[in-house]
Amino acid sequence: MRKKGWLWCGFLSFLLLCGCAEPKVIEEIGLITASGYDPGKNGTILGTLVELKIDPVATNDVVILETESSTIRGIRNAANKKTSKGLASGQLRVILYGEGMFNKGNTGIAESLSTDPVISDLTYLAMADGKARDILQLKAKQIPDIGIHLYNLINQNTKVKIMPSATLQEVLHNHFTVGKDPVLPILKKEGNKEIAFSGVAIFKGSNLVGKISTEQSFYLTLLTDKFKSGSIDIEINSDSSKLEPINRRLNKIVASLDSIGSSSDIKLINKEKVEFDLNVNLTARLLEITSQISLGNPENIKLIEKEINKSMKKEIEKLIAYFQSKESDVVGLGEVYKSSVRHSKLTDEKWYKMLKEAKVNVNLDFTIRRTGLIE
Amino acid sequence: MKVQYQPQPQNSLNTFILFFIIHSIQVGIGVQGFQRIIFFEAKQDAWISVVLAGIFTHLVVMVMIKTLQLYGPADIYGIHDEVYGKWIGKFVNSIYIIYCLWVFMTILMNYIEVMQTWVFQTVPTWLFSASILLLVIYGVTGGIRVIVGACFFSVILSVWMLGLIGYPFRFLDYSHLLPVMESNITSILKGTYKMTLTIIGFEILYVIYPFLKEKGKVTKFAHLGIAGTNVLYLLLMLLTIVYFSPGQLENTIWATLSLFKVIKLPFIERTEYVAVSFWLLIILPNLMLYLWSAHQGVKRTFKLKSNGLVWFFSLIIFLGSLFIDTRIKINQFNDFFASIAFYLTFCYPFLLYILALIKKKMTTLKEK
Repeated sequence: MRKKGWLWCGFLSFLLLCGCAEPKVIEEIGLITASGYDPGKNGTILGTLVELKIDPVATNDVVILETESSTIRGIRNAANKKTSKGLASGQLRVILYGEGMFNKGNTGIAESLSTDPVISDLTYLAMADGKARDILQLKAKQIPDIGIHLYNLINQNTKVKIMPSATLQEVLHNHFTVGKDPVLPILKKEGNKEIAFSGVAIFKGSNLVGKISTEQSFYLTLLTDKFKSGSIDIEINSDSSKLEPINRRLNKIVASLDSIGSSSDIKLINKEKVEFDLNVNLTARLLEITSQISLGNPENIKLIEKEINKSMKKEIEKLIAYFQSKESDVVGLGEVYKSSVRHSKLTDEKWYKMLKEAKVNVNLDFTIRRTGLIE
Repeated sequence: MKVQYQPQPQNSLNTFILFFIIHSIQVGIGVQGFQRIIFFEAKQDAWISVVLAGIFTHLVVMVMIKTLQLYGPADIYGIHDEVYGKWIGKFVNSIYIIYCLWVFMTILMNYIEVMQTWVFQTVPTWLFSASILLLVIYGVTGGIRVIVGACFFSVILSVWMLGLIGYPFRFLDYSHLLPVMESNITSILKGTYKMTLTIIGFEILYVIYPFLKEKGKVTKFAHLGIAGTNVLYLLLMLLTIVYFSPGQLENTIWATLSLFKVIKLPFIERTEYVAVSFWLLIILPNLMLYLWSAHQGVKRTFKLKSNGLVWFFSLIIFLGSLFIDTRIKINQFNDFFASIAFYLTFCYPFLLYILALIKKKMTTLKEK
């Protein structure tokens, strides 16, 4: 019995010792909520960190720190010199790249961040239109904390699929896959007070090769993801006399769709001459149309369906042609090829060449579910 | 030394507990990052390697039980003595004892490394190894029933982790699994070989067999335990392949722990910290059982009966753990160990069975 007692004493003392492992008191650390990276002088990286201080006395909790360094970690260490509280990056939620970062090839930022176990895999990545520091430096009354504001902005838009989802996990996943390329949402400073989602950056490997608009982003999501609820305004170009504009103000016909549900499926139908079938199923509710057409008539609905189908298909084909011209495979056609062809030994270089010549047949099936409260 | 070993009645165990013993000793440090090592060899067919390794394990356990049944309530130390004779038997037993301590060392080293990389960067190795070792000593000096209790609770209390598997689902990409059987048979078998470090542990059966009450049920619960582990490994392997892209997986040392990185609960944003710390509960039975079987070996072979031995072993391991402290050293240690473990746990039981059979035949012939 005595022996056991001794053992317990020893064990407890070690437990207490373990409790001394570098405590992190929330009042004593500065939480980095967002960070931005721009090219600096002489190949260094200009880092902008948004630090959130938990301080009951301070009127302004958010501090923006700017430093230059050659490595990502170095930025934090250098920023530490400027702050009264030790910086911790466990709450990092948004990483913003300046557009300039992608001009010189692989940035390696995402990779080096992912080696740090402190950084969450659910951190959002985004690209700034222009410089990342300009967005993070934004001072506006309605935005008390730019880090949290950006996070909520991206989070909210990603959830309803207006923005393509670009968490650290997803970007690295696509970056390391042969036959699929990552995308990043673009954030733009509008005026002096607002930040808005303004487009999607398209990559080839880790090189920025193109941008698409937010409207086109809808079609990209249509191909790579599933919609459960979404909405879009679509322009109809039709020669039919039934579809005439409602008034002179707007000389085109726009249909507003919501409750969009979609599913897509890509199939390789020809292995030698690479050819894909891209089937998209789409259902939606027609809420508004700028035409005097009577929605009570089933034939009219059919007509609208046909016309919308036509214009959507055209948009998708345009988008895919654009990706092919930029040699960027954000849709993931290469992955489909790789998983359907045995011993393909697909490499990035090989695939980009094949992608340019690949033929993609778009089959869109669009149905109007209902038309709201009126017919 | 007699082949048969009859433990004191208060130390005997119900046979169903064997399920928990085998499952908890198999699942340990390897499961944190076995996916990558196998993926290097077999690519997207790594899951086939896992299945093959599982089937092979069932086979080995079958032979092990057959060997043990030849002598009634026997353990490996008695069988060695019987088969090889007094002196060679002692030598082989010593090797087995060293092997047990070696496994102990590997588990401890790897866990401390994980702790230091993921959670406590600044806590020194000696503090970790000393506090874990004290806990293990407490268990081992407490006897087999305490250890078995730890096994039982280790399995029961870590079941909740399985419930978290649902979280990574929104990121899954099933096309990673296709085309099936793209790797050739050699690479798949190589992957199976690499499973060794992850799947070993079932050799505890050799030592714990005399302690089990109903010998008739041993086969059932031993295989159940292994099947449980195999299903878990297969699930994890499939999940990892579809969650990570190939290039990403090759860069991820602890894939299972990285899977925890996407779990975000309203009250705990970073579940991986909980998981890494909680892992102590999962490896604790491993450590206890290995130290116990080493202790049991010395007790049986050299007739030494003292708890001081446990302290002595712990001291050696503690000192050893101070020297192996970098990733490179640990990797070398693991690789060297894996090759030995493969021959000792997967190949040796077959040899031992054949030798034991011959020996048994010879003695019956002599008696006639």
